[in-house]
Amino acid sequence: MSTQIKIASPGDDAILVFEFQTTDMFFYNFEVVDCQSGDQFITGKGQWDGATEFNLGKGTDLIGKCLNIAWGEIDPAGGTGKFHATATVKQNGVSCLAVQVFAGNSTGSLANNLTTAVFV
Amino acid sequence: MKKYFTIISMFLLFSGSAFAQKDTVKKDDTLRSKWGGDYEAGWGSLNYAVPESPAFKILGTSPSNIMKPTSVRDIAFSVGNYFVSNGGTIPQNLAVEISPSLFKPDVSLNSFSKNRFWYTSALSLGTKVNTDKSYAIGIGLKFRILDYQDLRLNTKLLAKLDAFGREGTDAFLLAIRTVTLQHSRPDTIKGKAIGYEAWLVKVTSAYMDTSKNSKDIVLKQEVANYIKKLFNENSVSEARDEIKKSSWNKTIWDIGIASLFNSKDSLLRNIKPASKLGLWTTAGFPLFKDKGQLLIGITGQLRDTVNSRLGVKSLNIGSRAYYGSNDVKGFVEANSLWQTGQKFTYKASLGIETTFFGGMWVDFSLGLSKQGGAKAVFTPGFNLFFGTGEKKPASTRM
Repeated sequence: MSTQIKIASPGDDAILVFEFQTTDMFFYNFEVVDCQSGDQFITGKGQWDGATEFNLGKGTDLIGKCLNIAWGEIDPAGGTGKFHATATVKQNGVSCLAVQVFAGNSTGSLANNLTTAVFV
Repeated sequence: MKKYFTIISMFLLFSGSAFAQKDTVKKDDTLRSKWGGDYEAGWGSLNYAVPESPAFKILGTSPSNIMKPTSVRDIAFSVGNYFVSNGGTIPQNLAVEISPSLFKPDVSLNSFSKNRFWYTSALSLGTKVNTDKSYAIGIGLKFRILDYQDLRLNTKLLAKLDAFGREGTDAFLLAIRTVTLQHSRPDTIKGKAIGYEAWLVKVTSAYMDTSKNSKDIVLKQEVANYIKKLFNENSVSEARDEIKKSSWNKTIWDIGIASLFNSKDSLLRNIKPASKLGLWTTAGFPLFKDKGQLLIGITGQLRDTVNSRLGVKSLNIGSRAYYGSNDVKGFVEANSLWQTGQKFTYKASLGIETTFFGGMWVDFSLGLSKQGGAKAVFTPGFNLFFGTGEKKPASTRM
């Protein structure tokens, strides 16, 4: 069963918020898609020192759709530091109970992964 | 033969500590695709020549008065004039220099940049056996005023990594999405239950699967091939190597201080007050693009004589010009020395500096020293240096 993002207030806008407790280089691309056809409704991208909030539109329009986040990370300091970043969907500043945590040990290579969730 | 055995033993001993450091790195518990090889911790450290420490210089075992600056090492050992001054199998002098990064290998880029002065400073300790079998102990501190050699401070490399991170992540998502659509659309047309999102999970899992017997090896290969069309997977390694090649001779400036203490034996309680104080400053500048380097060094020292306490003052101004590459280079050096109660001294030398086995460096020189109207004196030099080896990606490690 995939991660679920519970739209608590269908009439309000949902905001995708990225937060970083890492100082490594962290990059992300996201898409809101039709879970069956893959048609994209919203796309966006950002990075550790750039934009961190994205308006995904009204909650009612999101229910039944899927959110995919592709992310990449590089440790340019060459340490062994752990990186930690989160992506949270919020409505009126309140989390919709789906927090995606990206964490691991840093490397000097580019590391990528992708996480998925569905709005309910 | 015994000397060679000692050198090899020291190298192996030091290599062991470097490997032990590697073993402390925890494996990533998150399944991720890693491109361009998986670097070990400390990949920001490069195998540039091992820097000389103030404690090493104040021992007076190296014929050169210039304190050679290179980008900081977590830990470095120096043995001065091994073949010339060393009669036994155990080196008669040894200096070790430690930087704070040794104790914090997980330092982040942000923390390193904010506290750059702290992380590139170093404490050094040195010891030698005097001709009368008493001991001399040197303690030194070194501060890096400028450093354009360190990868972690290289704005060009950081800008490249930033661009690679964005391009690579774009390529990764586009490849996953494209392969997913290629498989999910026919499925949807056939009216099967599996749709885009289910295929997305399937394709991503296949790509992340590191086992050789992956059942979805075809899917994995499709994604990999697509990424290759969009992004050079070796970008990070290539950028690092390019910067390394062109940065060994970049501008750098060190200041170091040291004190020398003597003791009739190895007991701490018998240590006498400092008999020698020294201050070194050396600046390095690029020459011939990435083919050469010019070092200009000034040394000031106070030392005891039989009749006076720190009564002898000396000032040395020297320069050394390198030509070659990071790994093998020749040099010429000239020094002028003024000293209380002594005639003016000139020194000139020719030498070569090279590296073996990754972390071991040697510099060999032949010099002439002439004081006033006296006959010139031949001064050979053979210094050994050991530093933490360079970390390379697993795919390129030999």
